[in-house]
Order: sequence, then C-alpha cells, then structure tokens
Amino acid sequence: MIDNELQTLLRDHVAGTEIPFSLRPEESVVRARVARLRKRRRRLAAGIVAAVAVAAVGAPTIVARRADGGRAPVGAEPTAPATVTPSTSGKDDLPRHRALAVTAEEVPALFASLYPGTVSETSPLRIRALGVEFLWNGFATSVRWMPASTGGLRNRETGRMERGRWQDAGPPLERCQTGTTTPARCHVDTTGAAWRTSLVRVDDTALRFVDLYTLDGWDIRLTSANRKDPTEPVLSSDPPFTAEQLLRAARSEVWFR
Amino acid sequence: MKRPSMEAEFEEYFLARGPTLRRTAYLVVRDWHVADDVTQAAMTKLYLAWPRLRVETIDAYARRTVVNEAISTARRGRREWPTSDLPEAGAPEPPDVGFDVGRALDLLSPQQRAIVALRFFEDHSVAAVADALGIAEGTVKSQTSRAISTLRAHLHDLVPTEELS
Repeated sequence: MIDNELQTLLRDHVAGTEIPFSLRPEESVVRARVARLRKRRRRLAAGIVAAVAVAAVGAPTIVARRADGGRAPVGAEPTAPATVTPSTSGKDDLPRHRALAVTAEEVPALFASLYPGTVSETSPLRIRALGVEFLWNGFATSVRWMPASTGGLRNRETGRMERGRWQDAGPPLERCQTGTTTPARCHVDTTGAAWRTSLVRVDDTALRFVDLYTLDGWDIRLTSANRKDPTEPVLSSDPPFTAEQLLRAARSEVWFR
Repeated sequence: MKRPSMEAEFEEYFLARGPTLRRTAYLVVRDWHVADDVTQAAMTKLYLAWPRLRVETIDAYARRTVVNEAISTARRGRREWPTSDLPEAGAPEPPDVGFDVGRALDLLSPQQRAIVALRFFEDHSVAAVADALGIAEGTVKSQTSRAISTLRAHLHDLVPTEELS
C-alpha cells in the first residue's frame, strides 16, 4: 500500500538523518516574555506619542526646564531633551554594544586558539543564525551569539552585528533568570555578566551548555557534546570541556572587535 | 501560583511533543538546524497563546503553528549568516544512487512537503491537514496527488498498489 510504503520511507529518512533534540523550553519562554515586553513598550510608546501630539496641538508654546536651569522652547534645541528623567536602571552607564569580529568560517580556528585541538568542519559547515557548529577533536561543539534584543541590525556586507536595541532587553541577571525555571542557577561575575551552566543527559549522550549574558547585550551560548553525532558511538562519558572552560571561551575577547 | 504551573505544563508539552514537531518541520524545511529554529519560534508562539488554549486544541494549534512557520521559512529561504568568504564550489554532490527520499522531497513545494509530512509521516486525516494548513480538503487531496506523482517519478521502488482515498 502506497501510504504505508511512503510512511516507511519518510520515517527511515528522518531516523537516518536526525540530530539530537537539544531545544529547550526555557528559550521559548524567554522569547515570549521579550515579545510581550516589546509589545507593551510599543503600546506605551504609542500612547506617549499620542499624548505629546495632543499636548503639542493644545499648547504650542510649552517650555521646558533644561538640566542647567535655563529655559528654552521645546524644539529650539532638538538634541536637548525637554525633560530629564533620572535613570533608575543604570542603562545610560552600560558599555557600548560590541560588534562581532569574526565570520563563521573563522570560529573553529579561533576556538582552537583558545583550546588547542584538531578542529574540523561538519560537512557542510553548519552555520546558524549568528553561530556555528564544528568538531573539536571529533566532538560536536558550537558557539552562538544572540543579541539580547532581537532588534539588532546586521551588516549585510560583513555579516556582523553593528548595533541593536539591546538596552531594551534588561540587565544580564534578569535575562539569565528569565531563561530558566531555576533562577538560583544564575550567577553574576565581577564584570556584571550573568551566567549559568547545565549538563543534559539523554541515554548515553551528554551535552553541556554554558550561557553567558553580557552587560553590553550579548547572549552567548557554548555547547559541548560527548560525541560527533547520534549515528556515531560516544567518544567519552562526558563532554570534553568543563563548564569553566566553556565559560572562559564565552568570555574571551577574541570574538569581538 | 498560575505562572509556574503554566510554565511547567508548557515545558512538559515542549519536551514530549517537541521532537515530533521538529521532525515535521524538518520534512518541510529539509535542514535539521533550520527545523530547530522553526520549532523554537513556533513553540514561542504556542507559549504566548497557551493561556487561552484548551487542552484538546493544543496539539492542533502547535501543529498548525509549526507547519506554517516551516512553510514560511522554506519560502523565504534559509536564514544563514551571510559571508563573502564561502568557497565558490560547494561540497561535491553525492553519487546519483537513483533512490533518495530527501532529494525527492526537495522537488516538492513547501506546501506539498507539509502535506506529505502531515498525511504520511504523522498519519493525519485529510481534514486535519486541511485545518492545519488553512486550506480546503479538496486542495489537500489534489496537492497530495501531485506530490505523490512527483515522488513516484523519482522513487522507483514506491509502487502504487492502491488509489488514494
């Protein structure tokens, strides 16, 4: 029967090519929260714009107190804000969002410069959005950078993140804690970055994750597996890299300009 | 507390159904990593909708979201990190073995792949497929027929012995 034959062919094909399922519900929860937050902010911004428009129509000669105590008509000096709201989040003090300095092809070799070993590309080189997967001494390894806000802008020519509205995404610890159901796993280091680690075991596969949330708005994830892929035997009981080693690589400056 | 309970329910559903939904996404987008992205994005939409979904409609909603996300992604093309340094020539083509489901699937449109995945991989009814894709049952039947014809032409071992219902 054709239905059964096709079903068998499809299932064999899927089973023969499938890679381990490593998606995590926490990531969807975080993305959903960010989406909700952005939606709320858009609504709030729209409300403010509408209120300002109404005020502008009704009171075209509004004046505002400047930070130096002087008074000037609104609009006479566009660069000076009409009112100054003290920053309660410290966002104004956050460092500039660094731009990635590497292309996907450079990542395996750069990783090997941190941890000497034989790196090879998967075939073909698996390039994901702002990340890359490769083999380190035969072990599946990946490095991925995500701008904390999905509103980041990418240079089409260079493939590098040039800027993003990462300030909207919240401080590192908040981003880390919203990404997990056990916020106590999140720690903050001396640079202000937050991080957490996890080790997932499915049958004989072990996959170690390190997530680093930087103060300048990058969410960096490194993974290390104990095998090349599900069709190959495990190479060791644990991934080759410890959480500390992956964290050190995540913090490295080699990735940025 | 409502929120942790919702999250726990969602996580349980994600881990139980995520792999199957990802397989369906893979059959549409034909790349496991893109299927990962599609599944994660669809699950995010599912989580946003979770509070207003009834238990009996969660599966249908998830299926619809994943498949539509996969079709959109397949139509847009793969989201890759652009680079000017990729080699001109790609990896050498595998030898023509004359029988490969993956290559045959590539000949179908994204919507046809979605129909094949839902009908023959997940074993859903025509009505369920029509609901998931938001198209008429007649369209599902006609697209299934075209997809099967294409697959049959390229998968010689797939010999039809019974008409599609």
